[in-house]
Amino acid sequence: MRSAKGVTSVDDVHGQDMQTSGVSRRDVIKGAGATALGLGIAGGLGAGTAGAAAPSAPKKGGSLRIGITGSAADIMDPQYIVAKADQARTLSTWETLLTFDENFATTSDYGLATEVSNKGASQYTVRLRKGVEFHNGKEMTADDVVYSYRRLLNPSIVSVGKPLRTFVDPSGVTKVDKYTVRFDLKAPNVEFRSALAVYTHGIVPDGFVLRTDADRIGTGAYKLVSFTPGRESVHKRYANHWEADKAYLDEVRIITFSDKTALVNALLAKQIDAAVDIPLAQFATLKKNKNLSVIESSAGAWDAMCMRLDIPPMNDPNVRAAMRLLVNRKQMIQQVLSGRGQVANDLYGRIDEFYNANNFPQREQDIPAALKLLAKSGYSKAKPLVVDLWAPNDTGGLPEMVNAMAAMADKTGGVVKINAKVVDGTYWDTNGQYMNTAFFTTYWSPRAYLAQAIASMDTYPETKWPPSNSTFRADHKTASGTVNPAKRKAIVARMQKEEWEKGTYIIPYFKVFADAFTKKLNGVEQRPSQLNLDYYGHGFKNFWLA
Amino acid sequence: MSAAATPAVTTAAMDEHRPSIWRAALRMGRTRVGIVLTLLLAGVALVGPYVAPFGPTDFVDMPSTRDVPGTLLGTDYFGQDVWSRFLHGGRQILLLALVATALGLVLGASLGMYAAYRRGRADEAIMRSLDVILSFPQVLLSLVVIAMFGPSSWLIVLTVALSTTPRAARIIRGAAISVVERDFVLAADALGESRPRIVVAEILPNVTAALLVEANLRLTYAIGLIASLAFLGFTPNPNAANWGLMVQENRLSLAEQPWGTLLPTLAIALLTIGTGLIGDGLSRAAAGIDRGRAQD
Amino acid sequence: MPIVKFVARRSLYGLVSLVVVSLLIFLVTQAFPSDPAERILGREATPESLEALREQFGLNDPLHEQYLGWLGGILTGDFGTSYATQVRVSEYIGPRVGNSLFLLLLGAVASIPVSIAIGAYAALRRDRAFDTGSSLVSLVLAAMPEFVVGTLLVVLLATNVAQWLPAVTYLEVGSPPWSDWPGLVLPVATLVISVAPYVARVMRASMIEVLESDYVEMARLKGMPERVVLWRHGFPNAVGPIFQVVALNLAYLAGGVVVVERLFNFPGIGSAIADSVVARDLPVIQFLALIIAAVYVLTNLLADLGTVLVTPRLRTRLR
Repeated sequence: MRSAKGVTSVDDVHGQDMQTSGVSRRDVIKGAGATALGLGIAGGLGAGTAGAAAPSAPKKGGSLRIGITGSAADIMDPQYIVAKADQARTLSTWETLLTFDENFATTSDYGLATEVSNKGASQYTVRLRKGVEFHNGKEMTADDVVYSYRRLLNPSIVSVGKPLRTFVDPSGVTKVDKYTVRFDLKAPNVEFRSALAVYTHGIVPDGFVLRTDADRIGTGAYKLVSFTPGRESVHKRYANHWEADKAYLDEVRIITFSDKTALVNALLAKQIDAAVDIPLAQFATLKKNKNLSVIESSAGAWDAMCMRLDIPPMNDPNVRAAMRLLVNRKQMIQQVLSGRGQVANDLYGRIDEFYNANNFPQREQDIPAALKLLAKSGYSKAKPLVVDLWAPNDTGGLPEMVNAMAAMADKTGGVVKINAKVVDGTYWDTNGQYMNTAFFTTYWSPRAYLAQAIASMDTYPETKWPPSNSTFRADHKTASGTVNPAKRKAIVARMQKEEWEKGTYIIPYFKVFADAFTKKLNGVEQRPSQLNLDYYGHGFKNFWLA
Repeated sequence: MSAAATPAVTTAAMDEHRPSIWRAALRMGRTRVGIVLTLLLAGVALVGPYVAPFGPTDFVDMPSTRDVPGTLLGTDYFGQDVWSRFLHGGRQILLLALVATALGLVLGASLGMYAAYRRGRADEAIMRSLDVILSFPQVLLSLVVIAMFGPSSWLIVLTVALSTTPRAARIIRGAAISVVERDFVLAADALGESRPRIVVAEILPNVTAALLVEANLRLTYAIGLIASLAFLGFTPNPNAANWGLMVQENRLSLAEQPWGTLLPTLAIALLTIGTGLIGDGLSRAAAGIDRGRAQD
Repeated sequence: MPIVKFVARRSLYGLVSLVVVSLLIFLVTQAFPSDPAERILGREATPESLEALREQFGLNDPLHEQYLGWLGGILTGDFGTSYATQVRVSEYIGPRVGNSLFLLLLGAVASIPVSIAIGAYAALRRDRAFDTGSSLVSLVLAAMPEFVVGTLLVVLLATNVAQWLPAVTYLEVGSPPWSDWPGLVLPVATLVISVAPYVARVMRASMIEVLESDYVEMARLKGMPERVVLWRHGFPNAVGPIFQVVALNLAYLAGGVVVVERLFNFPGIGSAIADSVVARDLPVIQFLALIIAAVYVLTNLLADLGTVLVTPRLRTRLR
């Protein structure tokens, strides 16, 4: 199922940086819900140890202070997150059945399952690791896993289970014996293993209801001592963890910052040991600092401008095609990501083994071609195309994207006028601009192609794709049940062709994220990762302080 | 304090032909410097957009770079020309700040003086209502209002005006109360002058100093508030060229590209000094006229 | 006792305005587009989870019931539960109020005497170097938003140029604000720098006005030594308006430390204000508005009392 295509090296566009930041509470929320990553890989960032010092034998002990952006809305929940701070806390306490390796293939390393076998694409059987203990001393068994997944599938409990519900019913999760769980899917899904590895699909004890700190019980290497939203959480090593010898730190403190500048300042003043998700604008400067190490990583998270298929003027295929031709993607990367990012080609699923299966050429800015298309639809200087492009101010990068896009539209000499509109978090409301206007922005965390396609069609029907006369939906269904890779690739290629030619997303780039930390912190490696700080050391295992 | 040493011999009755405060103020060096500075900055704001080498949203080069060929000061956080953004950025914010401050001050000053003059119930009623407004914390008030209506320019004008009104009123009232106590106002009252006339003709010159200090500070405050709201993530028009916003936008790269933050800060500071000096000159002139009148 | 009557009357007004503030803020928050359930769930909202949250928060109850329930709660010392943090408001905001008050007091204690002294001295040395210099400096400082002042201080003293002081305040949960006193230096300095110029300017203007007033002239004419004139007639009368300014600035600090707290990651009410508005965390917004309003009412009461007691003419009138 996985075909490593080799890891391409860092697309290192150097130079001075800028900010992507601002408030970014919702950096990650949707991504977390992913039946995320898939099989196989395609590129990513080069691997290597970030710290300059040659690794010596890990040392036990010490307290690690991690700074990370969050707010009073910080939550600590095994199956739901809002901000980066929540990711770190989730990872410290809870574990998942599988995890992803640096090629974004699923693995049982760090996972609570030892083996997952399948019958076709509709039935998966999970063998659990034995001797795993919750922080209350109880052993983890099949009952806990069944409860955990049924909780994710319950729509009245707040969680990231939305995409999961499209292909599993609660009754499809059953206990076979004490250490075996079976998933019978209502819709076939060849990528189901990745659903078991999503970091927000944490395993909780049977009967888990989240009310107070005392309820925050998981199987992770660190046990929660205290959690104060908007301030900090304290975690202590759990001696009975199934891999206790790999947890070196005595204590982990995750400190919430509301401002990224304060975060970086605290690192420079040595008040924290690691700053998670630094502004890309400061990457180059921090890299020069001799006391600090800096890593960057990407798993192909992306931002996009969405064009609603059924709202004028975006219901016109000529207009959609013209919009895609207005974008100067390299410039957008410079403006939005300080030059740190990878050019995208209006296709998602970068980590998928079938990413850009047709080898389409890179789409470039082409104003004359855009003008020709617009002329076909009757737009001219005298009758310009005027449209609002919406973005929320709580998601870093999106306001910058709409501003850059508006300026690029000015290159049409008045034929296209894009009004960049930035509003607050109400953007995401049921009646907000998100999904309810002709032209708006979105962000996604990395996902395999088919998982993303269903999420964009059903879970978050952003653009109402596909058109009614299209075979896209039927193709998706067929592909999801096709275990044979070559056959699946042919179908995926057909789907991608339709999207590349007539699609409703403008995808200018894939994002990267970066972290900085003191040289005293060891065990953080630079390798492709879905999460910051080398997947937070898989729950702060691996890390040790010199 | 040579001026103050001149003894005021008598308390004067009212003087109908008092020399213009402006003319007296203009004779002072500081007023002139102030006027030059203010005009300079206003000139930049007005003419700037026509002489800027780049458009306010033109992409020039890699963001936050100091040495970019073809630019004077390099690029800002978004790869735009700092110098051009600066030249474009004065007009809107000056207008916003001016309108907001004027609105708030006129309203606040009138209420404050009226309250000081009337004393008693009217005073209580006015000041207590203003208290209610004032006891809404500034930033919370702005944030709440913006959350309600979305960030827009007129809203910021209203918010600043609304938050300025009670502050101005309190200060003016405080200053005016001591004036009200003075003999000449009592005298005017006794002579049967109409109250509004007394308020305007008598109290206004005497509180000019406090009023101008306040006006000057409020003007800066308005610009600062716009920048601070942006700092907290509430921007009226993102990426509009605007000194207040520039300060905030480029703060992150202060170490790499200081001009983006320092240039607008400098402009705001010079403007404040300019208006401050004018205010100073005027208040001195007013004080001088007071004395002059006393010597008639 | 006129003073007692004065205080009693003003306290009553204060209480009334608090109730008005609470009602206003309640109504205003009702007018928010979007509701807390939507804000908390964001994109993950399902109709079921939205409904469950609305039910849990009591958002489906009639408005007057919500308000009266909240008001009733306050009278029994129960401020409700924060929507965003799911923690009792008193537990969430309580420690933050203490921290902010401490910061505020430090700021006031450090800035007020300094600025009054500078203002008064500048007035006495009018037009000399000190006056011109201090007024120029204060104008420049007043023109810089707090976050610029704070950022510059951090760059100079904590991160880029020198590393003498902490760049943020780090308080362990449950420990008092003075447990990290080095971390308080820069936030307090920023507050002082942003408040002092304002107070100094008003003090100077007020002092000059008094020095030129008839009664000071009269006192001088009577041949009183200048020192006596200053301390007996000049200063007390000039300081009157200063009480008002100080009160205003305390109130400003109480509400406006938002920026400074955010800049230094100080765990006070500042960050809670912005967070609560973003999250539409109504119980927290209401509580904060009330607390800040109360601080405001109190400082003003004290300021008015101070003005009355200090200003000789008004004092006579009270009798």
